[in-house]
Amino acid sequence: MSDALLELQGLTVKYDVGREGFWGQHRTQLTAVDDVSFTIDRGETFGLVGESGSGKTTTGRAILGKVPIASGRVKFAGRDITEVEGRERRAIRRNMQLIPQNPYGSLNPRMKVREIISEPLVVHRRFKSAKGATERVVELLELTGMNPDDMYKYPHAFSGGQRQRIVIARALALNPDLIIADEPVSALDVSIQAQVVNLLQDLQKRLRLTYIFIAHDLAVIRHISHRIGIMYAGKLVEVAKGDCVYRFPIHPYTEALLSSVPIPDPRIERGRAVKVIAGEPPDPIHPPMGCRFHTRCPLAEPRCREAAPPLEARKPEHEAACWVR
Amino acid sequence: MIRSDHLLEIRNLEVVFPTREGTVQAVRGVSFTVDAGESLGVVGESGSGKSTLARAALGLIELPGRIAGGEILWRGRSLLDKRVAGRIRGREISMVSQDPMASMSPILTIGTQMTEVMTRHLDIGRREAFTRAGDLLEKVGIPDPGRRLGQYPFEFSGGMQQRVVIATALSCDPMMLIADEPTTALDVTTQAQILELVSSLQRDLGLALLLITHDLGVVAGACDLLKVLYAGEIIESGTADQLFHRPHHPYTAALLGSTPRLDVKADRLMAIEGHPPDLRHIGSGCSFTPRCPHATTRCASEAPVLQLSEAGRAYACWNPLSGREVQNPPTARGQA
Repeated sequence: MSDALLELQGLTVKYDVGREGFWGQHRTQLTAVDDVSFTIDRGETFGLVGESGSGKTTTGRAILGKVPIASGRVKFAGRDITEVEGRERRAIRRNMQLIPQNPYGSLNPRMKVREIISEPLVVHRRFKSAKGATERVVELLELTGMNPDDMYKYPHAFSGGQRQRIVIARALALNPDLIIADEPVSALDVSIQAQVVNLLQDLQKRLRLTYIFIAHDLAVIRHISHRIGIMYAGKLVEVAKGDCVYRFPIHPYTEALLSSVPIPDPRIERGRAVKVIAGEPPDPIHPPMGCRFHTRCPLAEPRCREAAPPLEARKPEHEAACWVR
Repeated sequence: MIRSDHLLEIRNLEVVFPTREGTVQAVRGVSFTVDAGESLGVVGESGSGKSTLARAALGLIELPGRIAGGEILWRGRSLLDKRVAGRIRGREISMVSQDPMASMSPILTIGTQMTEVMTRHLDIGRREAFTRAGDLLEKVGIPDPGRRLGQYPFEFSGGMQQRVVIATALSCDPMMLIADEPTTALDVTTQAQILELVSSLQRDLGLALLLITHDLGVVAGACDLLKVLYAGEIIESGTADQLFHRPHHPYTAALLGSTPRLDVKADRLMAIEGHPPDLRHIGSGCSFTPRCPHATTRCASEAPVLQLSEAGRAYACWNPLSGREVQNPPTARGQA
């Protein structure tokens, strides 16, 4: 595929979480992301979904270079970002920006909106000062549906939805190609969430942005994503087009996850057979051998306990990691 | 005693929180009833007053907040009387809240905490209460209850903690359970487990359930009757089927349209422009006017009252939607 913007090959991220052994000679490591590979095309929205601790946020952070990569490759527009340094590294980093979850924690309360939005422009030396960047700030505020006069205010003057628009404006300041949105609407009420989701979709069309949309809410993910990757305990277990994942899930975990989501319609919800899966995700420091899901899987067979199934193409553009299905 | 045929009856409740920048009117003239065995869902966004309502029903409004008007009756007795509320809370009415860690003491074992509730409210000794606690843990699906009783809350996962809170809430055989966002902090597969547990317990024990949530999916499965709260007022009420399929109030319809669905792919979500009003400065008209696509001049000046439309359902709107069957979201219909 020639139009691939981002390519992950066997990405693995480990965190040191303590020491073991009598002398503390062994490092205890938690494998947050384990051998994850996927490709994202330009202009596409890739939804990354999973429960707490599945590694979806760490995957995003590793792409941004915010956590050290234990092994694997991250290729952005053909360049391996784990190899480049200095000027070239900064140029790549300019092209990928983060929209974090909490719009209350991600804006400095002591900076005015103009300083906040122009900060990346000043840091990357596009402008000398916030004042010099005023014109660009106005443009960005208008792009995200805010009022130009808002740039003279402090973040506390805004509601959660408005703050998230400011965060989006800041992320767009350097004209990035890739936006990594980590739970960008989870902290918002549903009516405001819809505003921000619509805004992100409009911006994508206008600016030809590529999104990695990380969320735990499967309904939001389905709505916004072209393709979806499902993570469980650090592993990518299934990747496919949105509709394929929802209509024809292959991995038993995907199936259980989808079945757990309540449908906001009493006629459907009452008659629906929910496949409740018992138990909880495994301990990330001592994950089970073989397939990570075998401890909860209704279809588990002996071989599932022995070796981890690889993520393989099952149908055109539909990959899954399961021995049984 | 005031005459009331209902288990819980709330009449014209007003709750206010004075602040330096003015008084927040958190709950404004809310009335409703809950009968034995009924499951009522209260749906609203942040700041709609839904949690304040739950706390008021348990006599838990703390200073500087206060109940400025109205009445809360539990089987005819006023819960505004702190002593009455103290006897009933935890015994006849129990509560499950969003954060299970906040409902438990981190320094006492689960067994100690559960027996404390029972020895306080019921006429039983510690030994008997401890045995009962073990039975309750088993009932809510916690394996190996004997060992678990000796453990501390931090040794349980979020879903298991919430099960312990539910077991504790059931320990004195209450008649009603108030659940305030009981699954919001949980992952979706755990949420499914807890919702199934709550529904089956409600059925088996004949409990009345007051479920407070922002999640339309959660109430769709768990509740027969619904109230929609906006800016401290009930703006529409009825059966779940009526509200989901034939909403009268534009806010109810907009809420449904802005909720993405797993089973239907909509081209675009129906966002509600603007944001909820400042509860310190409530105007004279309908509080949804600035965001309402159907608003007229009358809406801005005169507040509509909640009026009955047909049996069991009511709405507060001057220009209600026809109540024709709608498919949500209106753009597309996929398969379930």
